[in-house]
Amino acid sequence: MTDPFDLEQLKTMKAPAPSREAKDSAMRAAVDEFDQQKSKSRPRIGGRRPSHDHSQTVMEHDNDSNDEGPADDRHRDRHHPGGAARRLSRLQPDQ
Amino acid sequence: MMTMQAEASGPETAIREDSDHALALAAGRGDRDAFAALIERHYDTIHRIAWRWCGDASEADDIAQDVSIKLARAVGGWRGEGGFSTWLYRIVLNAVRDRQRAQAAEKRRVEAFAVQALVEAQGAPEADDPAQRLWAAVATLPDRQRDAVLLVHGEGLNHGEAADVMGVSEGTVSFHIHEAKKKLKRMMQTPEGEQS
Repeated sequence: MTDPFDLEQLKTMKAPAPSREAKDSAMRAAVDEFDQQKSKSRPRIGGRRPSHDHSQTVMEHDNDSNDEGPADDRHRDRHHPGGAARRLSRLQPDQ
Repeated sequence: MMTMQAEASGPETAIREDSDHALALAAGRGDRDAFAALIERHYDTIHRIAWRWCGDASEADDIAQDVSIKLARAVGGWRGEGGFSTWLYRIVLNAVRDRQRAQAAEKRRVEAFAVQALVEAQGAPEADDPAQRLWAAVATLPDRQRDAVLLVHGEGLNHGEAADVMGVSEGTVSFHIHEAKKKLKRMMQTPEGEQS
């Protein structure tokens, strides 16, 4: 007679086989997900940007306009506070 | 090295675990065929583990699908530490728990699932089938106790391997099994219908 408390009985529980349809569908879903993950993590080759990527273009344009902008000290000081400090110190009377 | 209960034991299993390791690392590097081979090879195991924990075949189908998709997302981050089997067990057990948490409102179904699955798997059981009673009782244990019992006595892992899967010490696994046995003994001695 089987010991009702023999935990080894748990090993004898035969799991039902998964349905072929469920297995195929799960495998397809998993491989699709794998492909998606792969394409997400793939680095851009050659540094070419897609044409709809405006953010960098706007920044570059900004930089370009700075280069072409007025070259007076006030304008430069905004971008180079250290330079402004140096110029100010030149203007201070010697102490 | 951990071996999965349903697989062959001995050197063949060790080779298989090695090749799982190699396949998983290749899949992690983006090898689609390696990933497909890994899923094909382990789907039945994933399904079996899910079934043991949740007790319902169609639920196990859903969990196995979730796990397969999770593997697709996670395999890129797997570095091979701890062995593939340990990692796989963890993912399946987490998926089972996530699902059961989502179904917290239907908590009472757990026991019914276990009985129903037995009926499906083995035909109509005898009213006093001790294995059925035992399994239904295991399904009602607290999570950690149930994990420890099913990993060691259901899946055939040793205490150290079960500890790796559960992320606890070997002593803790032994403690959970000890506590589970006490509880099960009480349940098995109590006539059906009187369990609290």
